[in-house]
Amino acid sequence: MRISGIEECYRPDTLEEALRILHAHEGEAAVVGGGLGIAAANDDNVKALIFLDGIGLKDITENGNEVRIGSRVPLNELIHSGTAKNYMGGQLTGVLKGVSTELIRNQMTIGGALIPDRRFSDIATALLAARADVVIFGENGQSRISLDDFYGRFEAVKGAIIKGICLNKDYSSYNFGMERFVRTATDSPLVNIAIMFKTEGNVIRDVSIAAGCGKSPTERFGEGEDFLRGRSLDEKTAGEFSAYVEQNLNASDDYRISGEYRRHLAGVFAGRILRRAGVKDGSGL
Amino acid sequence: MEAVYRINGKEKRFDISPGDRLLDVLKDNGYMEVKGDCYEGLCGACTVLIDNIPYASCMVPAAGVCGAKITTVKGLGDITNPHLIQQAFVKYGAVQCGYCTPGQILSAYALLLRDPDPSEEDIRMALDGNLCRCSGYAQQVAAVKMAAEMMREAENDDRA
Repeated sequence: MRISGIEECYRPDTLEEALRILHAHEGEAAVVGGGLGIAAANDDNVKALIFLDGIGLKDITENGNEVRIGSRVPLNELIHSGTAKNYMGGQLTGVLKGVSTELIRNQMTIGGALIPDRRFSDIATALLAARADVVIFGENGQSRISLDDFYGRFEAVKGAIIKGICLNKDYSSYNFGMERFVRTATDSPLVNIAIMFKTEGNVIRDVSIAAGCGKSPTERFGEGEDFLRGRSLDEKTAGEFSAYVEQNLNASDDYRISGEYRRHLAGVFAGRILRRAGVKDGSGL
Repeated sequence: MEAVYRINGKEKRFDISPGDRLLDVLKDNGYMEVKGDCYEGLCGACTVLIDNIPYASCMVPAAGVCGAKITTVKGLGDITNPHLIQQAFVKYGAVQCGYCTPGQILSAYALLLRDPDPSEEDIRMALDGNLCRCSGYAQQVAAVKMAAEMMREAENDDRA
């Protein structure tokens, strides 16, 4: 079963060349990191594939106060990398281990999981909550923006190539957790929610929440962040936050699951993440 | 377009289309030991090693892995000269219908290359993409544990 529509393949040596080919095909070419997204989408509109394997983008490095991850790094390579394992005490890689299967994690690249068309992915949700920055290469050269901004400026960044992501070590001491619900290991998630927060004493101070609810793509849940900020990390907060998420999260119906059920699950998951963090923190949850 | 691969140690040249999947290229060229046709990366029966890393070949654009070293289960061993993992699978009754077995063995092989003494959790995680509808997982995990032991012993014997 051929990947439909594909007529040409390119293997550029530089990002400049890749970008030139991408733009020359006016929306009918796709940049390929691992190839998973292309094989899964089977999109007739894509006529040309631009393979990036001649360019690199496969390094995981520490640079000052941040961890840099190339866009072609497969999820499994990230999970097993010592550098990434040390980040946030392994909380982020621990979450990513639960995504899909070994075979898919070997192929799924960080860049591929972040492209705006696939922003419902668990990786997008995890990295949005972790406040990752994205390094992109576009017509105006290289730039770095927050993942939140990257999704907010969808049209502006559409023609750019993702070079990698940066994780700030300032968040290393934060609590981080993600929960997800999928039908099968390789299906797109029905709902996912990730929360990163810092406590001082037992009070939640800085917090970021991202949630993806199928048709509603992954986005920050600002109201939920406002709700949690300043509250104690205890059972009362976990219960109230769970109910708040169930009532207020933006979740839509589709043929797989109703929005109401999505919100309910997200509420349960949100409470679970806080309780787990509380147990770890010794907050008595 | 012409694609060159090193399959089971031999250089092979095939005429492929830009949109071909690796699974189809292999099957079309006689590598029938590569199973699977879910085309969703779901079942893992089409597992092959690309540069010693297991992939669901149904999800791999063939043009993207030109020049790569590809290993199918026959590249590890065959009926006359089975690999230790294959021997362990037979010994533990880890094969029922056999459809998932090539993929299971390749995933196990890649794990043992990376980690010669994996925990049960590591084994389960390494095989989590290889579905067995006969539900023989307990025997498969036990077989991989035994294979790990056999491979370590063989290596020690070689050193001695």
